[in-house]
Amino acid sequence: MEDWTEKYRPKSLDEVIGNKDAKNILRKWATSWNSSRPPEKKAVIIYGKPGIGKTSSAIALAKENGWIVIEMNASDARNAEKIRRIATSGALNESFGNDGSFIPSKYGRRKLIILDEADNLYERSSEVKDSSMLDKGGKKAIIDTIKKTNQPIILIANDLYELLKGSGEELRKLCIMIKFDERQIPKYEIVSLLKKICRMENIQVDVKILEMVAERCKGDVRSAIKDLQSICIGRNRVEQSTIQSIGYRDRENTVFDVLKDIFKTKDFQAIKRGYEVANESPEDFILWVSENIPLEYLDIADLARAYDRISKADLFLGRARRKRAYNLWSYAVDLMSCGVAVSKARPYAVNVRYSFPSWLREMKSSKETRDLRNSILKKIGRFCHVSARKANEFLDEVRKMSQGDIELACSLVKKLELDGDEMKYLFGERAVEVEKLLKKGAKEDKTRKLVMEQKKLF
Amino acid sequence: MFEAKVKAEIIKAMIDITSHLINEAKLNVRKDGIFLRAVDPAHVAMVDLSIKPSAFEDYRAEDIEIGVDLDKLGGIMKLASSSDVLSLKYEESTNKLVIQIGNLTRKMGLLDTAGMPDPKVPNLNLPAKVTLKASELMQGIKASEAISDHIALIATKDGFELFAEGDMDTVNLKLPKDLLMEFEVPERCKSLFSIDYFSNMIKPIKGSQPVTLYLGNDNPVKIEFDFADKNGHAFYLLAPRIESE
Repeated sequence: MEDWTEKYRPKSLDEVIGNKDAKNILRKWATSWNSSRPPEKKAVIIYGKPGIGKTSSAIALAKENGWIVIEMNASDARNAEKIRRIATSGALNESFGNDGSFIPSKYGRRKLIILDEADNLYERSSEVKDSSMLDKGGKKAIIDTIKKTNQPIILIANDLYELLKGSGEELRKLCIMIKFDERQIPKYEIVSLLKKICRMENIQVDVKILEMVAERCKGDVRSAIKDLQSICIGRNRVEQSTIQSIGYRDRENTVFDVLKDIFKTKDFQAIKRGYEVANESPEDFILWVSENIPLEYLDIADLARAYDRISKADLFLGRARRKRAYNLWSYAVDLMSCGVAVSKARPYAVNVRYSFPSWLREMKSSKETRDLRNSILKKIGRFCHVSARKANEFLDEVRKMSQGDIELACSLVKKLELDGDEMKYLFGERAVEVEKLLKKGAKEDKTRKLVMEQKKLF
Repeated sequence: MFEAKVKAEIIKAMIDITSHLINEAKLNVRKDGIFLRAVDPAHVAMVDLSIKPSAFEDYRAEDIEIGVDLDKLGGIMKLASSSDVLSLKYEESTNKLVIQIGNLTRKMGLLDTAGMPDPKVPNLNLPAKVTLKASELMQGIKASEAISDHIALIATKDGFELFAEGDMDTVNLKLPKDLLMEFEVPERCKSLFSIDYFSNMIKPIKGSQPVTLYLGNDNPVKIEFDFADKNGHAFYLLAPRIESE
């Protein structure tokens, strides 16, 4: 089946929806090529989120002006050599059309060179092992091409920063920068585009569904069209009732979205789908859920049911870990997500800001001290011939004793070979004293050694 | 249907002539031979090539289109020496080209030709016609490559000239008309061209073979020659440089 995003690619700039100002700048730039001399800025950078009409605008611009298009996109291997061969020579010479026709550029037939996903290309060229080759990479080739070109060039990028960093800085001076903004695409225009496509395809789709698709795409027109096509496949009539069973696009679904689904709905499918996309391990996710249950569930009975399920989920997690039977995770996930979802008698009308698991936060911030303690425990364990865990049982006593007795502390440092941070951890404020004493001791040792040696000499 | 036996050198020549411009080619296989025409990805050059059935040891074909990856085919041709006779067969059921080199059978997957354009040869005003030996041109190209990235081809009433200008150096190859094999120049013609394109177009022509250039003013050049004992014919069209004032 034909890809609708290609089939309904805009044929003129007017058909590209939204971003009127950006399109006007593009048009103005194109007319500046109509004189015999190339304009001052021979290249344009179009940047913005995916699917909002950057490439379509570039191609439509060429069509409007009767220009030939040379497109290099990410699927071509684009190293410096290839860019030179195609873009650079294309930029310097007159051209034949796809149909073989020849019209010199002075009669208005220009050739538009489109470098799609230009922010993506340097990673590829940086695969060159020799670092001296880096500068000879794609970015340099593009800059050279723009400097020399007698034909219009458009660079397209999602991430402007990626394109302009490093040697790309020069592009700032050479190019006109045009931002395509997904917020500049009104929802009603997306809906009317979808309507038009449905009419052309002769498929009847409920307007509510079109609105839903347009809403969900968040300005990404391409994915809206893709969604529409996937909804319409094999149908010639789509009612609102059918769409419930159709998968929808999960865009940047975060943990917070899943939590919202869990706490606000009882829709198992949505919850599980959301969980899959959120990409959080069950061992972390259970912390998220248990942290936020009391924020959402206010009724004591709901709370009890929810935590009961959390505890059961935790059992599975423990078993999975001990026995390395990670297939048990699926039960744990079901309990901690759907189980918690059905724990509520009815949804709460509260608006909660879900918070990051405090346990994880604590663990993160205490990581350094924990590491310190572990290394001390290991040292004590080695000295006392016990495990680090056993040593943990009397660490507090050791600490108290050494803080009351500097001499003991000093000998501990020597015997256990503790470093500065470890001393600070163990002796607290007295660590400074210990250090002084140790230095003094070391000096005395040195003098004693000297004296002994001198005695030997005589 | 396509079944043929042919010397490897014929296929190798076809690859030499086309592969510096294009990676993929659509071969139109017909009763009266094999035809290929394509524009390079930079839209700067066009190549047109035909091989008559008489170039083949054995040739049977009905009209089909075959999409060939030229790099791949070139790699396969390295398996054969020039005088080897290959047998070629198009396997319709699998869309593969079966190539038999001695006891070796190589089946090559073919490309979908649906998206490949069919360019037409444009009508160009190229009044000057000059025929000379490829080796003579090559000498001028080699000298120019060292100093510049483009050359001027000039035809006057007195002869043919190749001119290149670097920052400090110049190259000038002058061939008076009595040294040329063919000469028809009604008016002075001059156009500029990228040297690497031009060089790649002359390279496939064997040293003493004649090559015919058709020139106009700021117009493409047509480079025409025969190969495979005149059983193969090819021409290039190369677009001129854009002259910025």
